[in-house]
Amino acid sequence: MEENDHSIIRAVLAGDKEAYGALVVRHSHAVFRVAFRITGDEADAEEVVQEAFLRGYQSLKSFESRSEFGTWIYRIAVNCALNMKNKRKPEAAYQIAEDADPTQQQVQVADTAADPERLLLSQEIEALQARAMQKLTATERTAFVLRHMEARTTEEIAATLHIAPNAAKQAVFRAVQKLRRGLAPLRVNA
Amino acid sequence: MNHLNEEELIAYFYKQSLQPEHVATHLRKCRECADIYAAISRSLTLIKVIA
Repeated sequence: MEENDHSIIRAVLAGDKEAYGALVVRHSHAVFRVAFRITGDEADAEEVVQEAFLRGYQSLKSFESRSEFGTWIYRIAVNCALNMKNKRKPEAAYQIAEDADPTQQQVQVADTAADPERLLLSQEIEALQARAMQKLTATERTAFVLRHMEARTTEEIAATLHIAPNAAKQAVFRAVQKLRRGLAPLRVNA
Repeated sequence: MNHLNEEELIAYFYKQSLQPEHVATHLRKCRECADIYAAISRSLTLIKVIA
């Protein structure tokens, strides 16, 4: 029978350091997924995974057994990813885009009449979305990722980011507003 | 009639509305709010899930 997380944690705390690997294997996929969604970069996400599990290991004694390890390590990872986003300077392309005339951000799409789905998958649209995501602050992006991509509730987002529920709600709201503005050139086609 | 604001509509889209039945009823009756909600839904649906 597969050991549950709590019994593995007890083993690690009793001195079986190797057992921690089982927790890494079990939860690294979910941790990487959210890290990648927040950082938008595979190498950064890998770094977040390593840092999160290292922090988790170092503070395992403070882990409260009434909670779920998956939730706990997920929250550590979100905060690691958020810190990383805060440290990173905006990309040069984004700086230029900020000052650019929004009316110039028209999407140039080739003949898509034959296959409308290609419109949504086009590189131009992905670039527009990526640029819109880059305009979010680290907190807004993280709150939006947790809501839109991870389907987390306001309370979960607030607990993960250590902010008040209303602040979490506002962060999501601001993110959606900015993204909608960023995606405005698509509206004629939407 | 008091219209719904954008924040309420976004909360409703994410099933986080505190009064979902009130919002649903209003959207059925109010064309203006329904149009704004449709635009918000389209924008958010366009945002592809990464990975």
